[in-house]
Amino acid sequence: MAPRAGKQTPADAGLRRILQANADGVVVVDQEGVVCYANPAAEQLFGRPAADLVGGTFGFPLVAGATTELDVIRPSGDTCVVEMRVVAIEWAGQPAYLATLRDVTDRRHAETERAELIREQARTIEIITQVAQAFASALDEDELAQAITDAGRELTGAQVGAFFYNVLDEQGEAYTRYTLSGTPREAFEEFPMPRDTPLFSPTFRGEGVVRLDDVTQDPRYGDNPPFYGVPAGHLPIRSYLAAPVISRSGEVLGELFFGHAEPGVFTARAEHLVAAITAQAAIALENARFHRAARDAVRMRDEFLAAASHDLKNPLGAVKGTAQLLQRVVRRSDLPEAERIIDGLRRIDVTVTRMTRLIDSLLDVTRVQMGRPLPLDRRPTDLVALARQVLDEQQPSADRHRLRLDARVPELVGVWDAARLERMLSNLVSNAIKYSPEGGEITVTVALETGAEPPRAALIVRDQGIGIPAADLSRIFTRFERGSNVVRRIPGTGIGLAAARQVVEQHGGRITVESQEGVGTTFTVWLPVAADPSSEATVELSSTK
Amino acid sequence: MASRPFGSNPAGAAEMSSILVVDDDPELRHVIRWALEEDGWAVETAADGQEALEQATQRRPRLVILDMGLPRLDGEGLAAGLRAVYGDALPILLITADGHAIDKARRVGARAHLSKPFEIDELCAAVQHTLGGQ
Repeated sequence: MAPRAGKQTPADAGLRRILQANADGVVVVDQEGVVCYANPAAEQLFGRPAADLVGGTFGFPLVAGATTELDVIRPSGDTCVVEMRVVAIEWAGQPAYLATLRDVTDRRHAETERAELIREQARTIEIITQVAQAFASALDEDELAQAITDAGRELTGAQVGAFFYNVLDEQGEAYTRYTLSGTPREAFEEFPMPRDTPLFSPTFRGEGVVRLDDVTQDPRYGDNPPFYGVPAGHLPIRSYLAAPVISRSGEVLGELFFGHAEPGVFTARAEHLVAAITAQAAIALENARFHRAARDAVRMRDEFLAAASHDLKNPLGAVKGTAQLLQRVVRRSDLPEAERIIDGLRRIDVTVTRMTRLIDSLLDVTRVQMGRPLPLDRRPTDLVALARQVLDEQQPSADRHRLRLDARVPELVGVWDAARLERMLSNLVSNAIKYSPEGGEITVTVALETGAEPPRAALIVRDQGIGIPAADLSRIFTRFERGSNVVRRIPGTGIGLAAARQVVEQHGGRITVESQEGVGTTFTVWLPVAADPSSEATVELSSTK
Repeated sequence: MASRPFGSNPAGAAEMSSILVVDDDPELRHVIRWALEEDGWAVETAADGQEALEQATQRRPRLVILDMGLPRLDGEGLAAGLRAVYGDALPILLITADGHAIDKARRVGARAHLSKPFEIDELCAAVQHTLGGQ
């Protein structure tokens, strides 16, 4: 086609009429990049009259068939975002580009806002997740309080957050502690706790969230001595958000305050988020409180046990001493029934010894439970002699049972705490008697296992009693745990085996049990013959949990 | 029969000082006094550390048997007071209600120690052993 530059055809005129009326901006640019035509909408978009535009350089790259976005700066300084579609046409007989332009500034803004909103929500979810983890795992009130304050400050966009929360001391008296977020603790150390002023009291009373765009404009603000507003040196606060943390039973556990120096910072959304976390915080704080109360109760129980056990020793000493002295007196006399009296006094004496062992076991177990070390009094001890002595002592209280010592060696000497081993064996034997009410044979086997390295002593106590249900075997060595077939039928405390295991493990040994209900029970104790100080240290560490 | 160590506490030695028993439990004081008197020893008693220290300062005992947990002045304080007055020459026998008597005995410089409830024979043997040379 021959070039006919500048010459308009009737077709061009028709096209122009259509373009003039188009709502979108339209410009025609020739191959040289010079604007040949601009419609009124384009004039508006660029903020310049068509006369200015036509004949000038368009300045934006043009690719036929492409849609691009342009950032347009108007002569007035305004900016707008324009979406441009380009098609190739023939204009005045020459190849040219026709660009359709649409102002998409509002749409772009909306998209940016939506992206920001999504980011913000993602951040909110992240904070809430973190806080939920802290709430679920932390059992320390101070740690929880800090997590709550930090989360609240981030969620609200506050400059500063403070949480005043009430904790109970050992006497059950409430006192207030606080955490801060966004400001060092020193910044607030000078200031007293917030008081029950008209501004704060709805929060103290647990009446719900208070959100103020500008607290200094609030009639309740600044009317109270001694400060009349925030104290000097306090961060200036305009935006104010306060929320009570209320327990399920309606008790106000604490008060959360957020502030910002600019007015109008806290949105309704921030208020809702704070309300949501305070509900969670209340549950977590209450759990922490319950946890602490339970821990304190356990500690008090253990302390009481230790003190009570200790105090029982004095009267026992008096009973034992009196029984022994009376035996002396009766032996010197020529009373007709001297033997019966002496037998009775001897039984009193033995009973006191048994009670003492029980108390000592309780003391040992409690001591370890309280995390205190249990020093062993190790000296050379003959296990065979020890077993014989325990069986001799126990025979009088076992009238239906035959107690038998099966010593595989004449003597078996190791470096052990004799008193504690005696207590342990005595407990295993008296258990064997107690839990075989039909009688039967109770055998204590003492053997040396030379095959083991290091060599170890085996102490086996076997009875033909009622046995222990298989399901209970794993927990009978735990303090206060007993076989389900004896609970509330045969009295007992659940201390003996716990103490036995403790003593054996502290010697670096091991205790195991095999049992069949209705057939009998066998306890086996292995003890290293030589003292191994390292094993003792390990046991002590692991028992201080 | 109970042993009667007249060899170490000969007849006619009544003017010699006695054994001072310090325990806040009256029954236990009574039992210890009984046991020691059976063996021929002269016995005085005190119910707390303060009273014991006053008594011991007025008249030197030949042995002090003391409990650790005493009112007013505890066993450790009493032992320190006795050391201040008489030095190491005055023997102390310790009776405690817990199983860790060795550490405590070492702390107060006791010659021997017993755990409550003790055997009467043990008590008599410990006293005789401590005073054996006198």
